[in-house]
Amino acid sequence: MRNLLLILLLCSKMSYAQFIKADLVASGLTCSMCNLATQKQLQTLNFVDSIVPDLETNTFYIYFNQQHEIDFGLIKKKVEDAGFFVAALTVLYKQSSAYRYNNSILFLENSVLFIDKYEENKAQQVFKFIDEGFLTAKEFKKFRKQKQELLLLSDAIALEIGTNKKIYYVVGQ
Amino acid sequence: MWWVNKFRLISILFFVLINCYNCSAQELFVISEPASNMPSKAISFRLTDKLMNGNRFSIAGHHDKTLMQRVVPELMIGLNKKLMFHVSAYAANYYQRALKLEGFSMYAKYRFLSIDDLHKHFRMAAFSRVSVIDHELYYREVNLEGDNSGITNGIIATQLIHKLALSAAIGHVYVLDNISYQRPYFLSAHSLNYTVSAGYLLLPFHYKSYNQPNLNVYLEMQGRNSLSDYKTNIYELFPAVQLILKSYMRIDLGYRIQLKSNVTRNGTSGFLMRFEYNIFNAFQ
Repeated sequence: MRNLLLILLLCSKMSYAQFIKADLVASGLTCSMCNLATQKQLQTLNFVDSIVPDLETNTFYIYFNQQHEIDFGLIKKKVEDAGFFVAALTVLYKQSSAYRYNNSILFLENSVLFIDKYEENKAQQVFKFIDEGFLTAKEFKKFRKQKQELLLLSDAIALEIGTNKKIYYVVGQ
Repeated sequence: MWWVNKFRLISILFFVLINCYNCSAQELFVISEPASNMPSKAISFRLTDKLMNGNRFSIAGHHDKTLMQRVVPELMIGLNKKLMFHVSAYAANYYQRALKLEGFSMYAKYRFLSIDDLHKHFRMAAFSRVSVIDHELYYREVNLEGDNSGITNGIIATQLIHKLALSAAIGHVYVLDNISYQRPYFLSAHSLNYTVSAGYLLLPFHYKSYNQPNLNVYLEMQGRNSLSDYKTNIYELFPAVQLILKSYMRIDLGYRIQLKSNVTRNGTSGFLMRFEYNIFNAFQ
């Protein structure tokens, strides 16, 4: 039954409206020239609709294009291509049952999100990425325990559903 | 009253310090390169003019005190996030009355270490420069940026803390023969070149838009020592100001001061003017 549900999920053509925006904080930035370089890199992504920068805090508010699928790994790659690193990435998720496998997993076309706590009754939630490269080294240590717990859970589920997609670990905010 | 002024000064200092915490610093050094690279897939054009009131060595054997300049057009490419290249051409009237294209150089820099945090980073890079120059040599000064053919290899370390950037670089210089002229016996084949640089972001206090001009000040020191029997040394200081316009254009104005040296040179001090234009995502 679970496999059937999964196949149905993967075959149905999705609109990608479940993620509305992302707040990205970049680290190691030195100047507005560097901020502009980072923004220009991010703008080459087809799933990015518009970006509002806050130069004071090196934060980029990224609004997604609903017609294309989001690849979170590419966001990280583009920041690193500009010569910097991701210090924090949070996404605003709009409740949409079509993408949920169970309470702790979201299926996207190219990736799977494992969530520590999913709140059923909330229409919108904010998820923070806790994978290496999506946090500062200090924050990464802080979330180590939570990630360990998610890893145990995800290993068991990944075995069951046999996914070969990129897996991300997120925590509800 | 005196204490009012003092209080004002302290509040201003305090305000500046608090602001430092939220901003980031500048490391777009004028005479040296930072360990950071330019963004991947970006192209920059640079035009540098080095001006000085110098001594032109003439065939007749007397020195000609005159306004001399070296014009350096430069193309810079960020191949990927770790590797970048510069290609420079050198045209000068240091050795003859008319401005003449005298050679080229190619520079590569590879960033191999990055320890980044919010508003700060420590980075290290390795660099290499190959220069091919064609004119006769009269002086003991070694300079691969226009005077001598040769190869430099070195490393750079840069630390950025909020508004302040500190950097140090050291390189080994190997001088080759110039295209049609042999390296004179008095010119050391091996030498050491090192720089210590500091940069500070003065303006703006608060970043609000990409159109805000940035003002940076720099103080750099360069030392050059030969590693041969003919012991030569040159120590120079380079204060500079830099304006960044619309976050993609850059104007530098610097002055070179010789602190100490034991060699005869073209000139001991002079101005540097530079304009740089950046194109981000210039190629796929």
